[in-house]
Amino acid sequence: MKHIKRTATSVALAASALLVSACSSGTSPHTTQNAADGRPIVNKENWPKKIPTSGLTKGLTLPLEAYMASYEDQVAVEQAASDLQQSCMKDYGIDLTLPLAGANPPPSDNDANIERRYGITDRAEAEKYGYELPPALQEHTTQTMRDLSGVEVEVLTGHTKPEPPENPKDVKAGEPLAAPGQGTKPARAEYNGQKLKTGGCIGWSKEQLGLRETDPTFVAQLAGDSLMQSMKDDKVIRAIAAWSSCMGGKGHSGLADPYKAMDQGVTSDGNPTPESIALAVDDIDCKTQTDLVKIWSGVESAIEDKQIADNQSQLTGIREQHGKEVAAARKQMAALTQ
Amino acid sequence: MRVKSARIKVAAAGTVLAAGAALLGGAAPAQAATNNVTDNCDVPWISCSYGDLWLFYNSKSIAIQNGTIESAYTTFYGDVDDHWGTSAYQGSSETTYRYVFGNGGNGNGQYMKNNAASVQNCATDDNYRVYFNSGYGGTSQYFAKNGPYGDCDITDLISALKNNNASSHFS
Repeated sequence: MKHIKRTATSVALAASALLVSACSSGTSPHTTQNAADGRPIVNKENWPKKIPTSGLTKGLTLPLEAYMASYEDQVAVEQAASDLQQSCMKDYGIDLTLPLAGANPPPSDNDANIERRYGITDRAEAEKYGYELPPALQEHTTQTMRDLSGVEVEVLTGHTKPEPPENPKDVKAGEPLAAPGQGTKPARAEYNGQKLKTGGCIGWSKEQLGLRETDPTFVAQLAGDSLMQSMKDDKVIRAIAAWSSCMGGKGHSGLADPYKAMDQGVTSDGNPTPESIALAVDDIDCKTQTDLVKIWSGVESAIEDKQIADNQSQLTGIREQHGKEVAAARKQMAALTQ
Repeated sequence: MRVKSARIKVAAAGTVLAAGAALLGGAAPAQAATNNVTDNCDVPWISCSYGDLWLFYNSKSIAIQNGTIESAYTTFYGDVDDHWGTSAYQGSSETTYRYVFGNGGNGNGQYMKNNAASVQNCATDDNYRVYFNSGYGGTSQYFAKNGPYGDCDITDLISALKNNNASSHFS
């Protein structure tokens, strides 16, 4: 059994849901409710937990997560920037409603992806969904934004309106990059008697919040290195071998590690099968039996502690800058609600 | 992805190779076909127009040089739980779509799972993450949205994900 693949019924259903949620085009889409189906656009119940509250990773964090942006913080900064952009546009007499942040959450809170870092870890979910995500994380809430006129784009972005994005499939190698935003010119100096801001209202919002857009890849890089290094550690190798042997005993032979089980258990349509659920449950039971997650995360924690010590000043700088941005965003949002 | 209309294409654009049942393994039914697509929106049962998340075969310094794209790439819209591809039964015959790099640049026609080196997110409103394993497993990397009328920003995949890209999800 290489892949558990089956028919596309749920994809069709998911696609229908997408179409339903997307059909507010042409009207103001940014009400707090999705007009089409009554679902809220932003549903915090679907947001990932900062620290898992169930399964084998319950209460588990890795040291580097302290330097990563949580989803809640990411949404706060995005929303505060959008709010500022809208208010800036209004000052120029332009009514613009930007999409709400937080409408399409990820399955985990940050790049460490702790819930699935060592494969699946939540037995209750596995019993229902196998290796798939809960349905709420397989949906997409679409928020349409009206097309802006040339001058409106200039006020918003500080540059002229780019050509409509080319269908990526029509781009050929060796051709000029035809991605959005290419080939634009600086905006006009003023509109409605007011000087345009540097970088437009988007640039201004970033300035207000002190967003520096520091390299977000650095911490992800370290966390990736940590995982790769941990897989060469003797304790992890032994624990994975014990898990593999346990899986063999349950009739799933030939699985070298939990990632291979995931490869095998993922279905093509997001719908679990009896086979994928059985595999998923056995996978987690074997992790419990071999203490795999505790051993693996313990090894990673030691690796990350050393990474943090070796990169302390850069990481501290990232955390402080991030803290300032989130504080500014929360202050801005609080001011808006007063 | 700009338009989620009811446009569902029957045939895939770009590179389409009928590879027959051989690639499907021993359990393949009597009728089976494998096609290669460069955009997951070209899969008939996935409803979208084109992808926002570009995954390039080359790393950033090689992929785009002097404003021109030199690397082949794959584009994805939405959650892709396995960069390997997808398959489904339509009636009694199973059809498989494998994701490959396209556009004629370096790496053109190669399978893209565990084979990408850089990424740009050209979405107006959707952030993405790319994952080490299928099923959104392992470590991950975040790619912020492009924003309205902005520039796409190409970024190298972190070392753990370079040639180890296996799934991607809204983020």
